[in-house]
Amino acid sequence: MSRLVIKGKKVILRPLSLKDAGRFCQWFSDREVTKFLSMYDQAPISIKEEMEWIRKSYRDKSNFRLAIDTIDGRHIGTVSLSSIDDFNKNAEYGIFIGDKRYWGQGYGTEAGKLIVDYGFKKLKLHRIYLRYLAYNIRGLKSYRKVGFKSEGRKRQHIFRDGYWHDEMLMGILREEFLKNLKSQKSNLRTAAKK
Amino acid sequence: MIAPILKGNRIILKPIASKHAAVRYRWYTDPKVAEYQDFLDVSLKKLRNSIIKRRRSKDYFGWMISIKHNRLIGEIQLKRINFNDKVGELAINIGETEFWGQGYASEAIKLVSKFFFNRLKLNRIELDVFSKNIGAIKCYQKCGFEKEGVKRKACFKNGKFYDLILMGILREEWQKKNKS
Repeated sequence: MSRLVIKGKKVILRPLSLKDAGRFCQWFSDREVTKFLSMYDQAPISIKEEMEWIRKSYRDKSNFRLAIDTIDGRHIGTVSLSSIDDFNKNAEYGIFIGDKRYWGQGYGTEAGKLIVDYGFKKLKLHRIYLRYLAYNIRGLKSYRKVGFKSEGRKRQHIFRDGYWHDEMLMGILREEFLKNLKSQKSNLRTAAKK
Repeated sequence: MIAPILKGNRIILKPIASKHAAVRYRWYTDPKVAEYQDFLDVSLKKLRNSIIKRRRSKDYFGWMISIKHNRLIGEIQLKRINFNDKVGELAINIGETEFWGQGYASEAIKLVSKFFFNRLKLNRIELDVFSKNIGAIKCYQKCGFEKEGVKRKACFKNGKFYDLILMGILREEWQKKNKS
């Protein structure tokens, strides 16, 4: 797992490095970024604390995290499968793009497709789910493109900036993922025939 | 945290303690009860230890449900309480199957909801329930819970994957319902 690298067209997923700590601290102190994350109201983290967290994450078997780099090697965020439940064969998908210049351009969507593929094919999961804050429309668009389906709404689940916000739930099942793969393959074949 | 005693018409809720581990273990390993619950890898030792830990943590309240003559018939818990977001998760189990279908669960849920909304002054209770547990779903609905979603194929049991129904109740709904 420490050597795992997954290559896409726009992004490369690679293990976290202690050198990433400074960037994480920067991103986590930006409220425009953390607005969409669960750590919005937390106190700022020091580089030392962040490095310790990264070190700990190497030994954590129930959470699988990869850094998202652009093809030219710029670190822009993290993608993960967390709370990996080996008995029920499911895990929670998580992603954030800390570098705002790379928002809304498909980097997150590709990273999502790559890790979901890994989760179903290599980790043999049956279900991957995610939660997002109802106001995260950009996230919703990306998750749909990755193949997640809406499953529910936890009303007034989060209190932030003086208001209640709903937390939305989405999920993708193994059979849906495999079906998507199959239809993608046959589309390619049909396109090639033409 | 150590829960306060809550009194109902037919039931009394008393804080769960490690001395209750044996009876809870019996319930969890009863196949009729386990069928609708999420109990994995349970042991007497684990139950005792988990209660000791939970009684110390701020985000937990647990009660044993007892009826007349101090007979213990089940348990009810508020877990993962988040005081910032004012949310908590409810879990209930009537372990003595002869007491199913007689309204004991709703009575316990109503007592705990009142404690949650009035005393703790929190805002939202949520829970997961197996989609095939029709009796429980009806009970929760009677207590004011709304269906909010489906965690599809979230639970693996007896060789198959089952859906979990997500339900929730908000303070404003509970207050409306309990105005009278």
